[in-house]
Amino acid sequence: MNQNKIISKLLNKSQNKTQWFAGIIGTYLGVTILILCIQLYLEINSVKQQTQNELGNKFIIVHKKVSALNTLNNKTNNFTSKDITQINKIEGVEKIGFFLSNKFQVWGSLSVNGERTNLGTELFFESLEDDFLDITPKDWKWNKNSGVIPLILPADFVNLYNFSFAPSRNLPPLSKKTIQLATFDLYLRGTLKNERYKGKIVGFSDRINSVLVPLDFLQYMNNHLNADDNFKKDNKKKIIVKCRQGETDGLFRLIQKKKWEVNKDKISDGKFASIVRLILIVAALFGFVIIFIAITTMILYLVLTLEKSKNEINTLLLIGVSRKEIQYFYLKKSIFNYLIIGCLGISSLLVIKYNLKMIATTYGVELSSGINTITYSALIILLAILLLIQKIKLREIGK
Amino acid sequence: MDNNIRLKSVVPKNLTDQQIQNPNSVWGLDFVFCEGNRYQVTAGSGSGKSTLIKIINGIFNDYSGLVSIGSQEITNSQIDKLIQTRRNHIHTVYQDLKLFDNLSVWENIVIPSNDSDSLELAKNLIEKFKIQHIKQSVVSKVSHGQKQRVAIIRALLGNYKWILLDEPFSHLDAEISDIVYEEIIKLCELKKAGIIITSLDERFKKMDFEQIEI
Repeated sequence: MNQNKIISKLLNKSQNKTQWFAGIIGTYLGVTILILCIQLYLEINSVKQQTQNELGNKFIIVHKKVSALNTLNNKTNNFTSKDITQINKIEGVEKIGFFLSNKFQVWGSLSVNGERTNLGTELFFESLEDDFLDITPKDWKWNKNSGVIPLILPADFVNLYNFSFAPSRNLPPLSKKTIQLATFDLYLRGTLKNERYKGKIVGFSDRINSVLVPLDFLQYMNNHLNADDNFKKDNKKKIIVKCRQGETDGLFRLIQKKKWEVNKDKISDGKFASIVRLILIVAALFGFVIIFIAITTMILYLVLTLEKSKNEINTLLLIGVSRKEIQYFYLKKSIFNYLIIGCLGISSLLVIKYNLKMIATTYGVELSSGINTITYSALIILLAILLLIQKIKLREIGK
Repeated sequence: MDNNIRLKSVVPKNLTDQQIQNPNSVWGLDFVFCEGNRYQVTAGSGSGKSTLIKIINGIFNDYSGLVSIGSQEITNSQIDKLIQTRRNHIHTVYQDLKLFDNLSVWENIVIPSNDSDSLELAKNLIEKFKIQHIKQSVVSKVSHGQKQRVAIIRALLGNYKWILLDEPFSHLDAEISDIVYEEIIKLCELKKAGIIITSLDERFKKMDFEQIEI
């Protein structure tokens, strides 16, 4: 039996397994909470970045407030060219898009697999440049000769239908794919002529809460169906502003000053992310507190063990066994402990991450798979710090 | 550089004036234990024989004066240097033996030095000292005389310039103590190591041990 084994045998007798277990569990909980917070913080940043390109603060839909006075005075809510210039001058604003509305009546009735249903309603259309859309499906092209108009509906529409309309009419719920199978008979009535088309749903937008048709279709139809030039005029009642990421403050200041209104739902995505980040920071602080308690527990455990082994350690020193050899024993044990903690922490994180990914997918949010390198680095740094603290404490042996 | 142990005006603070003023005492004097020589320290109980061993080992620090071995100062020495001195210069058999009750006889012997030479020597000494049969026994289960032999074997392994023995034969019968004594002398001669033994045993007076009364 070599010297290290004999020293291990000697000093192991003073180890209290309950205290050791408590120390391991405490440190494991602290470490896991902390690395989970770091990982989720990174995920949220990544999701926010991903969504900001599509539906976050980067695209802000603005309209003027509709007051009773406006209605009574028949005053328009159009944005003036002065307003547009002001917005354009704001730092961070990249592009402004104008919503174009239909200047003709639209009546739509639903048919499924060629069978006409008794579901019919008056509709409205809006259009935007494709740059401002969060999706551009492959069928999102209007062909004048096809007789089919591609439509993009708000994603909320499916929920509204399934959870509000369908139950009230005793109708079955429909998936997005089923809805896309349906075609509409669309009757367009202008001041000059009427026309009939088929409507096909090609996608669902998270960003725009409106029935969207291709811009070239609407521009054409507004002219084509109307004789009166007034109907052909564009109005600028609602605009969409594309801002550089994180540079929306100037725009919001102007919106506040002018008492305009914005698409609150979409802004809340950013706010939601901020709130979740705040919660994670609080959780991370909580993790730090747990780690602090765990470190204290581990150090207390070490101090107690050293105290219990005091006679053995002193005797070893008296017969010429070096402090390094004794410290090596305790350090080896600590490395083993922290390896267990690290493996348990990573395993727990993987399990939690897998479940979160599944939950997030059902909400349409794509989380990355695996654990971020920063999280791994944070874990290694954290365990190294814990080990360093232990090493410093072990220097007291024999003093 | 020699490996002499030097006491310079060393006076333990727990001794009485009467003990210190003893004209034969080493306390308060400049005294040198010369490398390779053998010393028997004799005195009545409580006169400081064990204190002297502890002072040389750097365990007892409540004294005035200076202690050194060769160029290495023992007084106020750093712990790591002291341990190095205990490992390479001074091997000691303490009066309370300093054995680990939970370890076996063999483990106790080889714990400080377990190179192949030491292991070979340990096996020989175990046989010569007649404790072969208890080699794997836990130390707490063996007699005090057997424990003394275990502590002596442990001290005789490895490198050293001095062997310090504090009442080493108190529980050994005459036959065993002769064997042990012969081995100590033989190994110390081989290593040119000095011996300081605290004992009232008259045998050492007849041998070539320099007598020191304190």
